[in-house]
Amino acid sequence: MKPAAAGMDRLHPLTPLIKGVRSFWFVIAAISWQGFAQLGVSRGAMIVAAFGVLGLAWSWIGWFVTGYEVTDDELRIADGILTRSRRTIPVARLQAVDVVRPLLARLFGLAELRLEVAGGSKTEAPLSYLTLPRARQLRRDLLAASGTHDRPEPQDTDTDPDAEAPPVAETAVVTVPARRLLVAQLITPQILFLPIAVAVTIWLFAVDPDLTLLGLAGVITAVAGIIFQPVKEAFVNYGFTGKVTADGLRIRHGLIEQRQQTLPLRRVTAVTVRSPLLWRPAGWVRAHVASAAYSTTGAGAEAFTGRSLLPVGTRDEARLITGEVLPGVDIDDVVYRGLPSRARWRAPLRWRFFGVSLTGDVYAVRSGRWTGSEAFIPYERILSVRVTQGRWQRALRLATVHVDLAGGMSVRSAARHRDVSEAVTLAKDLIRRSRTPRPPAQD
Amino acid sequence: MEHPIWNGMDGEVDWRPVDPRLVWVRLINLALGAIPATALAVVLSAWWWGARFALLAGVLAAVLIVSRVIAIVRAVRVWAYAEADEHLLIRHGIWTRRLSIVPYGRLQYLDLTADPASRVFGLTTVKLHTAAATTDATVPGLAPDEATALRDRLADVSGARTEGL
Repeated sequence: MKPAAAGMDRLHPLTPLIKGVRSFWFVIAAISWQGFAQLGVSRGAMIVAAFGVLGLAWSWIGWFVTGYEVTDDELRIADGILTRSRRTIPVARLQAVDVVRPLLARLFGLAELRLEVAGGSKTEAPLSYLTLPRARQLRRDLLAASGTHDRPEPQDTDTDPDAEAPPVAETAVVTVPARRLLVAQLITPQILFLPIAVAVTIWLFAVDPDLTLLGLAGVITAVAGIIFQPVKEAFVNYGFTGKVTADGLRIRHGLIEQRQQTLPLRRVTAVTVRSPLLWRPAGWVRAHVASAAYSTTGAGAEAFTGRSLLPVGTRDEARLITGEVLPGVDIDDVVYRGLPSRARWRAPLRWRFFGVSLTGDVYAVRSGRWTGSEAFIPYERILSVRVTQGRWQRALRLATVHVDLAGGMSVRSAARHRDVSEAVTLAKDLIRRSRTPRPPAQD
Repeated sequence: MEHPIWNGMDGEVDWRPVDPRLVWVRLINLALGAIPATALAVVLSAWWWGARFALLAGVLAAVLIVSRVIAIVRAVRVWAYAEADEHLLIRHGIWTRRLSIVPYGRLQYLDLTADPASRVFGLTTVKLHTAAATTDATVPGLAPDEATALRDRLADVSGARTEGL
């Protein structure tokens, strides 16, 4: 065991305490109620204390041997108790920087810094924990070093997330009021399904009064699983604020665990705007950004949806923030080209909703009957183009045009059921336009 | 044969078909999987349900194998690639027709692979990768010198046109 290499910075000294507390919960969960009943309270408490102390000691050693340092073009991290590892992360590959503040760390004024790197299969090198100002300082330094400043701006005027006054020199703030967030989550299919689930459960009891407690527990678990997603959405997106700063798109949200995500605008590969059927009476939409950072990674769902740009908002707000993320793009200004009417034989319900548009800056694709989805893709982000034609499409002289993007798994970017000759022309057009000059290479 | 989505490119590009011996490679791979599976199906159904079902299983398997053979022969015949000035084109697919266009500047890396059956005929598969996971660009069945030549040409042009992510 060696202390962190000379010249390297240590994480905050309270780190082992916060991380060690987790082992307490782990031990308590492992012993469970039954275990406590068998052991008796005092012996159970002793065991918990013993493991807790061990966990603390282990965390402390982990902290003792961990060091990090920022050079002009790299972040170096040395850690590992038994297996020493030294990681070097070139800042040029940096895709996004998140400052995450779990509840416990927040009580101590600490934060975790997470770096997303192009091609990384998981979040690279989370630095936990740092003081909040230190985390911000590091974020600023790393983003500056990665040369991804989108706009010249002298100072990062970011204030404490708990403070109320919005900072100045920042533009295009969208905020989501808690009330709207809550209402929007209430009108999701999952929550609307809840009364039905309860009714069915009661009916089951009526039919079969012998339904065991176990059966009831199963029903409750299933229902909890179904409504988990909207509930989580409400917690995660609580206090959502999105704005464009010198470092790029900055998003802040979270009730229990606060997150501050910074995504350089140059890393954005697409913006999608979706309008779920149930939200249409309220006129609400949600918007996401895709970027290489979250291609295969992210917090589970992010890999499929992209980053939230607006969890729920009016179309005007979506228009505002999209225009900031993709300068010069006005989502209400896009005129979509529809499908030939024979496409109704292939997609009878949806054919009217498909459309594409080649605007000056972006390729726009619209699709979807129930959840209307619009994708806005800057031409220079298109990496390859595919044209496919299934058997039925062939009979109808239709074809589908796909565009491939970094982190584009979440983007509904297929232009389905176009006329064949139009599809081929579209593909050629997209390939030609994808060669438009781009900002300097960054990989 | 009519190739509606591929016709649009005719006249502009020079399609180069993959090596016809790829048919044999695919047939060998098919045989390696299908023959033991068929034998097992026939034996087991004879054991469990009797000879009549064994015959049925055998006929079913034969039909499947014949349809696969036809599909392989036709698929290899249409699989082709073309090098345009700025991008590589690949066309393939029988049931679903596919055309992939990959600009040279977007290439991240190339994979050259050869499974045992391919090595018998000295054939190589070249797979193109971009930063997008959904890019589908594979040229199977290239003679080794053709594969390395293609690789080198692609490395050359993509190096000259690198556009990053």
